[in-house]
Amino acid sequence: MSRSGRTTVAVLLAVSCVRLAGADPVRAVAVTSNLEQAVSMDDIEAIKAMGPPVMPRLAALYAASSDEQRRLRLATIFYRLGWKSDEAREALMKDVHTPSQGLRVSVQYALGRVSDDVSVVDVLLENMQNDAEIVFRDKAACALAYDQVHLTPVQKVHLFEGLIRALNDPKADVRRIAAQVLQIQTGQDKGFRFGDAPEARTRAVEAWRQWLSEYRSQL
Amino acid sequence: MALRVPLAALALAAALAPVTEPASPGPPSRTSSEPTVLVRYGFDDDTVETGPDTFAVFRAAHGRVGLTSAFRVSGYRSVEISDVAGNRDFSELQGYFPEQRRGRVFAHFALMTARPDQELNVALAGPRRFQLGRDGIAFWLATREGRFVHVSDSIPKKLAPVRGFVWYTVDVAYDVDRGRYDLDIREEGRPEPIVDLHDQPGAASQARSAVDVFSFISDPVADASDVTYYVDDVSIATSGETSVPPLVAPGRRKLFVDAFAEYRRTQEDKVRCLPATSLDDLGVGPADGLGTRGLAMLEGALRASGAEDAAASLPPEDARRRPLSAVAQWREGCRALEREDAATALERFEQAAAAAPAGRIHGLEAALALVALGRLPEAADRMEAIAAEWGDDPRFAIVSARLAVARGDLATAAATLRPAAERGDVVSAERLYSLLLWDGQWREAGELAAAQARRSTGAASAAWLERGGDAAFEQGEAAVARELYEAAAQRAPDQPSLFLKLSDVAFVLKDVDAERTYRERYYGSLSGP
Repeated sequence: MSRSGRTTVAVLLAVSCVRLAGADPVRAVAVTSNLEQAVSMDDIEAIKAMGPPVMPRLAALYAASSDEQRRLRLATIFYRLGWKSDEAREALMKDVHTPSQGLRVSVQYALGRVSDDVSVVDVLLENMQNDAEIVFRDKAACALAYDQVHLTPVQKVHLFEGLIRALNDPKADVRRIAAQVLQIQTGQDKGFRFGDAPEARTRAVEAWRQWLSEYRSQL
Repeated sequence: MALRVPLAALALAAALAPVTEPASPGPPSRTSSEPTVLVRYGFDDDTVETGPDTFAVFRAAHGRVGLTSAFRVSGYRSVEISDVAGNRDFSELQGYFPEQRRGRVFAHFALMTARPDQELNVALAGPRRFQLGRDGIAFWLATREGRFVHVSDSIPKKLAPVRGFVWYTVDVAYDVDRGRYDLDIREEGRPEPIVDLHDQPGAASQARSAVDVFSFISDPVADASDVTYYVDDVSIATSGETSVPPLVAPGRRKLFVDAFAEYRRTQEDKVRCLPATSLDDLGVGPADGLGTRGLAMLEGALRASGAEDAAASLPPEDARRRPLSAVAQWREGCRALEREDAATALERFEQAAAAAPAGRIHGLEAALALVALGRLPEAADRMEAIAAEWGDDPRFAIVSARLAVARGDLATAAATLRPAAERGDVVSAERLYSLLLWDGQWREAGELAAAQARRSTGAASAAWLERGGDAAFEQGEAAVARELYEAAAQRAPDQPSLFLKLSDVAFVLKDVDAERTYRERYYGSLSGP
């Protein structure tokens, strides 16, 4: 579940969170003043220069586009900008269940980068546990592990609650990726092993619950 | 602190290893219970050119990190770390030490923030750097929304409130084997600790989580911090003892009056260069603008024993070439002055001043060389030309005094100058004051300053009141000094040096609240509206 450019415990994990296409920060780009041109040229520096007020316009471009590749490009731009925007969240949420693999992954990654809304956490938790495709479940876990950058400590409680709940999922792979997200978020596993017998898992989940209780008490 | 490791810092790890050897290590460890100091920074090298701390700081820094003499716990200087929200960068000071996989590691440091509401982070981490997990962050202290917070068992836990412009000393005793620590935080002026925690789980509650790096940083993730904070007296040690060893016996805090006396002593037997105490003095700009190669060249230029000028290897269009060459010229000038070849020294200083006009030390040294050559009117003209850029810096006062002394023996000169000064001749009064300072006649200097303050108005009156305060402070009359500085501050409310002196006076008078107020006023006078 590691992404290129990050040094994390996730390099040990079995699944991989592939870096978003076109996210090379040192790529030389021409400065463009026109938003549409900047998007089509993937000119992230030019878009950054326009500042956060550009986000509603980007969201409108996303919503208006019927071209899946263009939406994927915009989702990647949202990810790289990392600016909060309700408009961007609303636009991206419409594709959070798309069967298109590239677009879905990019949208799942971008959502946490544009939003501090727990509805994003909820939909990613839902995808992580219940999506029919294992790859989407895995990539949703990646997004929960790395991309919820705007969450407040209170909102993080919501994330941790969902992850700890998922440790009891009947699907082994869901238990595994939920534990991995917790490991990446906290650096700990509290002794949880997704393949352990139910009694052992129950003890570890109880340890996580006690930990969450203490976390909550510090808010 | 999480998730981002500056590549430059990583690349420098190996190069830093010799630098982070203790500048003044404790005694060698003869038994397992004796503490071994792994790192110690007081940031108080007397000069830029000789100080191991100075270049250690520059090498290990990222973003806006620099030495400052405005605030300090001990000595003359501390490190200032500042950041601007939304600048897509962060500021950080890192230091490496030999990896500790067992035993106990003790960390001590002092910090003071100008913006308690803004985030800062301090961490001890291991080879996996700034992430939660084994061999990642072991100890993590931060400020959030006006409070200290430590991340323990992966939980940000609230501690005591943080006050601006107050020094806090932090001691951590980290048990590597158990992954747990004791934490003691003390606020200056309060005898009892404001945080006194024992046996706390490490940042991610990991036993046997090694440590080999410390980091003082602004806000590496959200880029939302406008913090400016100060760090002093950093020590990392290891020991078999379970309690905190006597890690730090910080040197006495040096006051502004100490600087004059120390510079004066260096000039006792002959004219010598006065030290550069910052890169600004040399006109080379901030360290981060030099890049790794430029920094190495600067260090080489300052320390080289030969006459080579490494900057000459830079392309002519490289902006670093001229100021770095100026440093080499300045170094050679100082060597010439040391061997009493003032003519060569002057030539070198003039070349340095031409190459790096922003380097104010070059003009001052040129004036000193002119004094040594006996070209006193030229020296006086030079001093007059550079006076505005030196303010009340004691190095300028030293050269002024040198010049005054060179114009005649003390008794004769004083006898000549005093009547003129009493008639209102400002130039004579200033020369007389310099003479009295050089001769250590503080009471007479104070009386002269008081008389001149009564005679003058506005900024001139404030300057004489400030000198009167200096003289009173030098004589141990801190309360009198405070009155004089306050009076000066009323006449010159935009004069930052007064607030620093008032802060020193409050320190001597043990008036912690006043000291804090003056620090804040000084900081405000720099920050502006």
